[in-house]
Amino acid sequence: MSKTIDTRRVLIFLGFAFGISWAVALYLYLSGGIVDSPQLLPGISVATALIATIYMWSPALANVFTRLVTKEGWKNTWLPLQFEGRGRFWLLAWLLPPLLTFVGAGIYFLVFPEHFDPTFTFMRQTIATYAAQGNPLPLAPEILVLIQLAQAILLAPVINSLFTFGEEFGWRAYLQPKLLPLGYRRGLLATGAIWGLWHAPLIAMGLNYGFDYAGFPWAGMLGMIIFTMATGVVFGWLTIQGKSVWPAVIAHATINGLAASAILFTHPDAITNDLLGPLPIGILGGLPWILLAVWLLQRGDPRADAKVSRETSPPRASSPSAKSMIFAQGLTKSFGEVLAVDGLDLDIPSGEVFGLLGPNGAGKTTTIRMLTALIEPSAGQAVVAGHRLGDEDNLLRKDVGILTETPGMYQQISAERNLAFFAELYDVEDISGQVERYLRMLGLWGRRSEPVGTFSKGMRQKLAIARALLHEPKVLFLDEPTAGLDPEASKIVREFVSELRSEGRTIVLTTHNLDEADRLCDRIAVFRTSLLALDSPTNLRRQLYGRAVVFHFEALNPAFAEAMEQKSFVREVKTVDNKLVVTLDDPEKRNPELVRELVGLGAELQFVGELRQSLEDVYLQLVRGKGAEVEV
Amino acid sequence: MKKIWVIARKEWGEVFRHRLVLFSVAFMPLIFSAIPLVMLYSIRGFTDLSALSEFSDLMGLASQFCGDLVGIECGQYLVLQQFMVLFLLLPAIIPVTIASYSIVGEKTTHTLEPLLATPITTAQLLAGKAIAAALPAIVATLIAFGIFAVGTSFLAASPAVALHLFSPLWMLGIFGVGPLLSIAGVSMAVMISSRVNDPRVAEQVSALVLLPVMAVFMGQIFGAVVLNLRLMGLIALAFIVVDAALLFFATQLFQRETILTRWK
Repeated sequence: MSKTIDTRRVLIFLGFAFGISWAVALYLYLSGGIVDSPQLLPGISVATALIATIYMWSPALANVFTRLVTKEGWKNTWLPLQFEGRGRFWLLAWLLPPLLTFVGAGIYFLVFPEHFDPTFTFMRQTIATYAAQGNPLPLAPEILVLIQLAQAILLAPVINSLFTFGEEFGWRAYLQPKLLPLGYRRGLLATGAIWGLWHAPLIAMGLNYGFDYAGFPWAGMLGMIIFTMATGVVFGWLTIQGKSVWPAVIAHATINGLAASAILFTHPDAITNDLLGPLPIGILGGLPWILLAVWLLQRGDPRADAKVSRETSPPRASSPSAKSMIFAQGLTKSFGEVLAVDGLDLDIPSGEVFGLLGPNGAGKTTTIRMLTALIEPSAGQAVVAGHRLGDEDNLLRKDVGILTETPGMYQQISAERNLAFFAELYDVEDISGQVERYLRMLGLWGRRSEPVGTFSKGMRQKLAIARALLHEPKVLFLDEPTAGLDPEASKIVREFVSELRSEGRTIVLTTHNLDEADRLCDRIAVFRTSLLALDSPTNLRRQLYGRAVVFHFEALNPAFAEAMEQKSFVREVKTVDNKLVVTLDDPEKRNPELVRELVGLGAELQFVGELRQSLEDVYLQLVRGKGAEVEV
Repeated sequence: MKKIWVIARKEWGEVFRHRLVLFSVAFMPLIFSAIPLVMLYSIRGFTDLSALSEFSDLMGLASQFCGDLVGIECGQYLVLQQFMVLFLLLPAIIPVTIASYSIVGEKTTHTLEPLLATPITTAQLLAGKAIAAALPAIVATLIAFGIFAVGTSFLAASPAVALHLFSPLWMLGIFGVGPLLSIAGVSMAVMISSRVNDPRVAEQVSALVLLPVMAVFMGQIFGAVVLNLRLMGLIALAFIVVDAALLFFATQLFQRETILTRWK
């Protein structure tokens, strides 16, 4: 997020939002105001129609117009629903307004108990009016009140959303993110205050508070601004937490549907002051909203946790080097409470074959899915083939090829058609040429017309590799390319990867076959949720074990081991049968001295060689955290 | 647009490889074009309406639908009109099974991940799937309707029956509302397909989509709903909005991450 406010766009947005709505207000004022507005349709005045449509939609229109005029584009619209893992905010959006509205009305009636009417006189009078007009209502007042409340809670949010979307798409989805650089609290409060001010002409024409109150219209405007600041904080919090404007739309629609419900419980003869309540636009009626807003502001920015964890991470290289084909910084993925990948840093140069090793569930596939823009990281950033993850996902997908864990080909259609289909999706120019090239390269040309369902597992795997290569990607991700294949098929796949390596392609490979990784990879990352080690296979061995020389004797004398231990450059001496295993640095330089010493002690040396620890030893030590026994 | 067609063509290549599926798409429209024509053929010489005198009330009610058609012309019109509703509904009914399998099928065959790894947007993918399911049903229905229209012109008691039947009301229904209904049906089915992890669940739930549409059909049969040009126009307009909303929600409810990571 940028640290400064985009003042130009904010002003253009406000110009549109206030310009459109206040022009409507001016028209209403000139045509007699809201109260005396002429009837457009029976029961619907011109004012009602204009306020519910153009006035309430002016912030949304301002959002659209500002984006068009300033060529801002359509990123960060806050329109995606973002249901997953955020259902509770949708539920809160629906349930909080009734709860707060009823509690607010309750507070008001506690202060003014004489205004409370448990006998529903208002409803009884309404029924009597209908009966007098020849339209008797066949239900008891209590039932009618219940129906009204149920309708307000269940139906009104749906219908009112049509109108409240117009406001929320402007205030919460556009203005709020633009003002958040002011700081979380200031941003939310400023958005709410501007939203309240936008109501000013309507308040001046008697909407919400009427005309009959002290300090008209300024006290009403102030009351509205307090109300919108409180509800704005709640709606803003719902938008940020829900990562979508829709929870705010629902909450706004629900409060609009319920706001007048308190009238059902108010005695018609009571002299109420709308600035106080019982509706939530009054100070007492709106008190729960104000208290909730204060509490939410005190809790602070809900996005702060993610920021803190990123900021306290160790310093890293800030940008990819010119040679980087894959650059990841603090790449993290969590699924709910489960942390799958934690702060992964990678810098893979062009032309490298990079192995990702780790036990099942270590996060290897998740890492590949993040780097191929299949799933979104929870935190961190990455640049793959020159494209920034999250910003240029479709371009990134064009430049990477992926062999998924399960090959997944369309069984009913031919191998050739399978590849042609994917080639079209990758915008390959010479589709038939590329399909033929890879089918021939992998020895499948002769069976190109047969349905893939008739292929063996090895053939399907080869076809899936061909699919990953069709569009000549800059980076190739191979997720366990030999898993489940017989030795012969595995060998063919390995040889093909070797061939790709010799062509200088950048390849990221995950495998459980450590011998395969040892032979194919330039560098290896041993990984279990976070990085355990990263280096070339040879260097990993050296780092963990040093280099060891094995001396084979006709007969082993304990003095030999003692003599070796005396040498300052020897790190460890082990006796195994008739052999001595001596761990030391730089054996090329030190071996002659050791051999001379041993011969001097009368040793009959049969053979001298270097002990090579397998990558499996290295892997197990890293993953299990303990050394593997050395086989000599 | 190109990628939408690529998806649609692949779907057709895969689905219609099974002759039975092709047959099932063509069968219902053809049978519903044949049945009314056979009925029309069998009653073409029937002119004595005295047997219907005891249903005079019914005939009186019917006359308000028949306009200036009288006697057997009115009878033929009333019978054929019921089939017009079927032609309107068929594009929505036929493709539901294909559409409901579209996403969950990709998942069960493990083809969804490589597909999502390509530079295709969610909207393109879903539109391709929806078109692949809807278009054959719409085309098959319109061909069957063409057969029905030609047959009716030859077999009806008078040209007035055909003129009355193929009025602007029903032309708007068949060529406008029918395809829009089809898009709504497949959009719902594709949406459901992307939210469940078993093809059987997708098919079962998608079948429920048809219930409100069937209600209109039953309403028409029992006289509870009387279609006129204005109502048909309003239905068409409503379905334009509904289709747009359904396509939007389908893309919103398509959660790549959930589908890839939580479906097993």
